[in-house]
Amino acid sequence: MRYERGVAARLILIETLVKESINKVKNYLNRLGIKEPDNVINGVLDNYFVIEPVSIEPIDIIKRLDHMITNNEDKFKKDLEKFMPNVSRHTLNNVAVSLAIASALFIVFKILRHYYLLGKKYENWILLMQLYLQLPQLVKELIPYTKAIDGVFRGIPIGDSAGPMVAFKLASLSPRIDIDEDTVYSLINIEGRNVYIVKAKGPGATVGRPGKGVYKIAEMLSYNIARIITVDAALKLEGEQSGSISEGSGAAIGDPGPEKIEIERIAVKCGAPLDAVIIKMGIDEAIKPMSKEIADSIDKAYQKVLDIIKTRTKPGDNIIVAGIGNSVGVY
Amino acid sequence: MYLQIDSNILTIILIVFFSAILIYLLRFGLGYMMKRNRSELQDQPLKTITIASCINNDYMLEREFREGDFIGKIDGLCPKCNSNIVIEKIYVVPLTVKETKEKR
Repeated sequence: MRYERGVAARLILIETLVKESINKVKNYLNRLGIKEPDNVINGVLDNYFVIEPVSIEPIDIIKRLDHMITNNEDKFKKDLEKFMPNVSRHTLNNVAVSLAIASALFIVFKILRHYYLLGKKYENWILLMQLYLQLPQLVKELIPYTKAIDGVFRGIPIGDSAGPMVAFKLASLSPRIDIDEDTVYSLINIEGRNVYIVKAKGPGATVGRPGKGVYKIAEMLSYNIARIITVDAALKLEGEQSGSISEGSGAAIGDPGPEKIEIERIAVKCGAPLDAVIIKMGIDEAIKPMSKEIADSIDKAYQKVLDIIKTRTKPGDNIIVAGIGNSVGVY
Repeated sequence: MYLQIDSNILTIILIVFFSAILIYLLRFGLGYMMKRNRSELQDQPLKTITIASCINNDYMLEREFREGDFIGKIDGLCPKCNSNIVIEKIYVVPLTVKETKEKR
C-alpha cells in the first residue's frame, strides 16, 4: 500500500513535468504563429520510433541502423516543415529538438505508468517496491529536460554545445562550408598545418552528421590525413569536477553507432591517430543551459587541441578536428 | 452522578485533545508533502550572461543575454580599434538573493 501510494505521487509529478514541457512547446509554437500547435505536438509525441535492425545477422548492421535513423529524422523534419513552411532552418531545428525532449519525457512517463499499473494489476509488490526506490532518482534526472526546453528556444548554448564551442574558437568567423545535412566545415591554417574543422551547422539546435562530414573531407583529401581530433562533452563520474578536461584515444562521440564508426573507419583507412578531448559534466549540465564553469573550461579544451596540433603534427599536414555536440547558440 | 459528569468531561477533553493532534499531524504531513513536491520542481533562478570581445582582443564586454544572441554573432564595433566585436561566450549564473528580490 505504502509503495503504491509513493509511486502514484511520483508519477503525478512526472506527469506534471510532461504537461509543463508540452505547454512550453505550445507557447513557443504560438509565438511563431503556428495556427494549430496541438496538431503538431500530438503528431509527434507518440510517433517516430525506430526499430533496431536484426542483430542475429550482423553484416551491414551499421548501414541498416544508419538508414533507419536517417529516414526517421528526414521524415520527422519534413513533417514539421509541412506544419511550419515559413520558418528558418535554425528555428525548425530548435522546434524539432524541443519536441524530441517533450516526446522523450512522455515516453518515460508512459513506461513508468505501465510498470506501476502492471504491479497493481498483478499485485506484484516487488515491482512496485523497485519503482518506489528508483523514482526519486528518475524524477531528479527528468527535471533538467523540462528546463532544457527554455534554453533551446532562446538559443542559449547547452552543456553538450562544448564541442562546437571549441570548434568555433578554432575556426572563429572563417567561412562555413556545407558538407552534409546540418554539418559544416571550415579550413584554417595553424603554423603551416591545414586544419579542417567539422561541426554541426549553428546557431540552430542540431548535432549534424559529423561522422559523414569527416568521411567526406577524408575522401576529398584522398585519405591524406595526419591526425583526427574529436572534442566532445562527456559524462563525469560523481566526485569529479565539472568542466575538467581529459585526453585519450578514440572517437569522442556519443551517437548510437553510425557516426562514430565512420570516424573510426576513416582513421584506420588513413592510418591517422585518433585523439579524444573530453569536457566532463553531469547529465543535467549536459542538457541545461551552459554554466560558467563549463564555459570557462572551453578555453582549456581549446589549448589542449592546439597543443596536440602543434606538438604531434608537422607543417603541411592535413588535420581534422571534429567539435561534436549540439550547436544551439553557436555559429 | 458527580462521577458520571466528571468522566464525560474527561472524555470530551480527550476527544478534543486527540482531534487537535490529528488535525495538526494531517496539516503538517500534507504541508510537508506539498512543499517537497514544490521544491522538487522549483529551480534556482538564473541569469544569462553574454560575453563579447573585439577580434583584436583589446576590448571585452559583459552584458545580459538578449534574444537573438549567439556565439559568433557580430555585436557592434570596438570603441578602441573600430574592429568587430564578436560574441564569444554565453552562459548562465545563479541570481543572487538581492537580484531575485529586485526581479520580483
